[in-house]
Amino acid sequence: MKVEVRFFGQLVDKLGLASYVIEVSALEYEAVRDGLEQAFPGLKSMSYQLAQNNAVIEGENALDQSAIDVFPPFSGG
Amino acid sequence: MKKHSRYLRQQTLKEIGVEGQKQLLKSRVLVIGAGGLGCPLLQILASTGVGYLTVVDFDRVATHNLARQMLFRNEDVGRYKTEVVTEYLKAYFPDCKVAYHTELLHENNTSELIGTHDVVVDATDDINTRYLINDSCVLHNKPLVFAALYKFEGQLTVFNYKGGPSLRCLYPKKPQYQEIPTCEQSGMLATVSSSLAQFQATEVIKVLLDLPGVLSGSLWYYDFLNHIQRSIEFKVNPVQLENIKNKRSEEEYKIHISIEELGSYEGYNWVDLRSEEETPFLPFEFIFRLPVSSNNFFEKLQNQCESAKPILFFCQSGSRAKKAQELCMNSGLQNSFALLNSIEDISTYLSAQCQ
Repeated sequence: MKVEVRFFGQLVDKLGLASYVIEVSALEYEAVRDGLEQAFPGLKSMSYQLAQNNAVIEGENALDQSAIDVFPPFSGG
Repeated sequence: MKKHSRYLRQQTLKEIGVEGQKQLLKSRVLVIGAGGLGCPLLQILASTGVGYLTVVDFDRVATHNLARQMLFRNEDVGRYKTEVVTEYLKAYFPDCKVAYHTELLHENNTSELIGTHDVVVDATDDINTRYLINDSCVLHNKPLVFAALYKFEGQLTVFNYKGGPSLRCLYPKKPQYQEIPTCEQSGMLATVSSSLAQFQATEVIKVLLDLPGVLSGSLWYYDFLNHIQRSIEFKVNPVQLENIKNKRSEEEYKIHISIEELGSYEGYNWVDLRSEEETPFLPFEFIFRLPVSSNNFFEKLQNQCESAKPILFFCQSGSRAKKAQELCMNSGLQNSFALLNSIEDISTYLSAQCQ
């Protein structure tokens, strides 16, 4: 199935796009993470957090088909 | 009890009142970083009557700071930020006692500073320092008001508040330097950094007065360009907190050092990463000039450096030194350090040492 992912901060510049639709094997955290890193292998070594419906998603969360936000840490100040 | 006329309007707010104002006047806040976030934040905290402010920054005022760090004037260029900020705050806000530390943070001085304050504010621009501050706040059980930005986007949250999550709960994996472009590379606009600083200062006051709605366990994100916002909930990660408390990796911070920590200058391979045209030129024979953009960087580095001594990278402000050091580590070249002092301080240090 397909899920939209939305990028924020430096990820938009690094990946060259603000959103993308990825193919996932299930609506689960691991599957989303795998689908995302398959589409964007550069993310594998990077620090980021996934969120859906305004909450960080972890292993045990039940996901729906809402878009997933991909937030990198910022450091400017 | 009598109202303090200077703070009359804010004391009229029932959330503050006379008691709240007294509390603010007794409060001790540590502000780390006197730049795009730190300047407006220090000014507004002093003006609301926070009684004790300690400002930490190792940098000097540069011309390119003036467009957004509005406590600095043209004539302050070249002076330490901490000194200028302290003079300003003392002149304008007589109720506020200001202390300053012009030094790079490392584990020991961070711990000492954090232990003696009620709230810590992270207004730095460096991800390693941010993790260092976070870990120290966890160890000292101090709330940490965190703000960071990238171009037009800002992040704000309060870590370690009443048992709440920390930076490592949100981002367990510390990013590598090249993952996050520096402000030098990405750019920054005064309106964005000062707006975010005002939100950050409001969280400081809420924490100090124990007001409801403190942004703990929630990452507030705002895109000032497109007006997109989020409030992302996140939880405590007990494993991460235990890691910080039990086996925090000291090595992680030892890769960055300051001239005060060098011991003898002769114990290092000094590598100047600046390009030929950058000034001041440091006239010391033992310095090997190798601009970061050089072809066959690692080959030249290995050929020129004595393997018995660690490599010490430096540049104009330390940012290229950090990158070069990290690249070395990632390429398996052990035993290198990034010297984070400004080139002016390095020059003064070496001139004194080599007399």
